[in-house]
Amino acid sequence: MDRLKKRDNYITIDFLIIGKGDGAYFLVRGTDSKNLKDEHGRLKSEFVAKQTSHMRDYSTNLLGKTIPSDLIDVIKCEWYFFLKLDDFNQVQIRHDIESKVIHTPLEDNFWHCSIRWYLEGKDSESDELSKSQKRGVWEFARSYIITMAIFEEPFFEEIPESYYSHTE
Amino acid sequence: MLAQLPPPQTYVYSDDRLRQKSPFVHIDGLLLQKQSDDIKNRVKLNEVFLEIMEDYPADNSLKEKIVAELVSFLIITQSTNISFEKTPEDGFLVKSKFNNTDYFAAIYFDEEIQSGYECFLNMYQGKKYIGAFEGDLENVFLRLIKS
Repeated sequence: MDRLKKRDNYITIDFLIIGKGDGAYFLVRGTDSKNLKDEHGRLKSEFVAKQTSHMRDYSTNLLGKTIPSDLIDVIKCEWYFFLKLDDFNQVQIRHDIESKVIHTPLEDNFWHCSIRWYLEGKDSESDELSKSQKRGVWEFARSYIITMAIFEEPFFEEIPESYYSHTE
Repeated sequence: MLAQLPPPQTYVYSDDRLRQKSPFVHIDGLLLQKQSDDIKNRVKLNEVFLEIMEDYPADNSLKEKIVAELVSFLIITQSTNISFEKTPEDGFLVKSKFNNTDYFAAIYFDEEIQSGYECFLNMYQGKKYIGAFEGDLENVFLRLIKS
């Protein structure tokens, strides 16, 4: 889908400049089932990630230029859930764990982003962390996503063009 | 009211050592008082207990102990609408209602230590993160019960 591909004037999105409350920005993640919710209305853990280690670089898409129906074509997913950018971008989600959203564009999807997790400032992938510490971060990240997942398509805004383009 | 409750032997653990170590037995008196008006909860917990036991073979005493602790904790807190979900790596997600509020605990176990598995628990009230508990299993649950 050409609409999602990088254009010549596009630049990497720096999520550090997006402050809390700047806009109704959301991330969207595709899944392979429509039965996402458990009886308590929370996301079932299997739809967060199949393996805990997959949490290290949590794949999502910025809602805006990417809209849910695009996911069917690009990542072959018919169902999805949403995460509010403010809940993940530069957020101290636990006293020792911070989450950040990083722009990780793909060849066919410029709007692909990743959520990364930091334990006391160290990336959860870092060799400086023990296996146990990494697992601790990822297990927490899983529980946080279960808690913060949104199922209904929210009212959303696109990020300003100046955030991803040389020319407005 | 107490006379209406099922007898304590409803909950059977195969290992006597577990009976002694688990707070389950110790809290029995308290449990009876607290649960006097809510037998349904206990029936539900029995169902849940049996369900989990199917997943964990009886010869695995540490896992059995973990299940006993979990069930004990939920009984003590008089939680309702309890559901368990196993994560792909043998953690538990426990979701329940208490005083009309949703609670969610994500529990996982790390390497085996001298006093059992090291246990980590992250707890949420609704969407609000309440806190983390970690340590050996008994510690974590005792702190939870006190909190």
